[in-house]
Amino acid sequence: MRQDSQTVPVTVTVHAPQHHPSGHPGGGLPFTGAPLDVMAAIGLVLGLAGAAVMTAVRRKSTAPPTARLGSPA
Amino acid sequence: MTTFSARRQVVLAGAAVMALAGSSLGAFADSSSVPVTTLVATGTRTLSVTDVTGASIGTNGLPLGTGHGGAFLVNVTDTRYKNAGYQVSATMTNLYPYATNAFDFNGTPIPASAVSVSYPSGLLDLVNIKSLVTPVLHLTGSLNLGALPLPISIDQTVNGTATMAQSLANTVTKSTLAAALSQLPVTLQTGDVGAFTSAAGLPGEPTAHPNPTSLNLMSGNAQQPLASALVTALNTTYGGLTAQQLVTAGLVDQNAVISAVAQQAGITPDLITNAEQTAIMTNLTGTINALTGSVLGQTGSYNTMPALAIDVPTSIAAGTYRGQLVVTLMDK
Repeated sequence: MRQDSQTVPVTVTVHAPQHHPSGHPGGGLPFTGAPLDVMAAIGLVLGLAGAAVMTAVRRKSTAPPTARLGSPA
Repeated sequence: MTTFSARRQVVLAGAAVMALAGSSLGAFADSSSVPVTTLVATGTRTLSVTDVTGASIGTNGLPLGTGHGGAFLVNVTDTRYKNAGYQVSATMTNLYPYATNAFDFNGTPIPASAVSVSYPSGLLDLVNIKSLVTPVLHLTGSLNLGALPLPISIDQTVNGTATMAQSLANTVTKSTLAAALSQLPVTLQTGDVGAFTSAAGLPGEPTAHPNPTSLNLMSGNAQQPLASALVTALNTTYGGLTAQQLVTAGLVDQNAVISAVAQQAGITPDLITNAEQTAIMTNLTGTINALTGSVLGQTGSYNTMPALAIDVPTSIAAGTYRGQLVVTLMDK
């Protein structure tokens, strides 16, 4: 009765689960990977635009009511 | 005083007369010892487990897990091996943490039950399958012998010598296997799928594993291949060759040819001269009539490509783990 055998080593590498700390690239930020100066420029533009809108709203809200309604003097 | 040649001619003539008259020596009896040789197929049957390219699996082993297919080739090769079936099976050990060429048996292993076998490639084939058979040759032709006035017509069957016969294409694949099955000396069946439910033991492992799960990877049963297909294949290669060519090809022994002719002429083979032997070997041609007895053995290889997959439990710590797959070939 013939019998022959061969042993094959089997290897597995188990990796640790990956956690992404908040604020770290890969943590879910919409501009992941964008350069810092680009992000600063976008922030400045958004800030200026917001300030302009707020100024316009404030001026409108302090104007006389008749003027605002446009009734004859 | 008569010369040998004259005596031989008298004997030949007398023998011819007796052969034509159909007489026999009747009550005369004698005994002698005749050495008889029987061919026993004593070839080899080997198992080979390699990576999918046919290269040996290195010391780093067969990698499993994400990014690794876990496939390997199992090959059984017969070279004039006796006509016996075979079975290739496998067991799997637990996979232990492994570092600096040593198992850490104190660590939590990945159980063997996390490893399973499947056959995603579907590869199952046979290559260059040939059956070792003994052909029966039909020799015909016309020649002059001794003092006989007319050429005698030879019509004899002779048992040939063991010969390899191939009736199948060089490669039989899974899709052509069913059609080729009857012509195989050893059949081919695919293996089991599923997990190694119970682990085998590793050398040095403190825990005993007396009943490991053994999964069949490939098997075959010995059978008698279809004789007519083998006869046709032999005639395609050898049919119509002269007796000398058949002897040169190893299909028949020259003494068997001479003896057959002498038998038909009613003389003993020693009365045939060298010149007459040459004429016999040149003038007679042969075809293969049938096969004698059972298939003696076979040559060829059987291949399959199983793949191991692993489902690592979430409780397993990060690291490198190693186990052993033991593949075993047995006759059956």
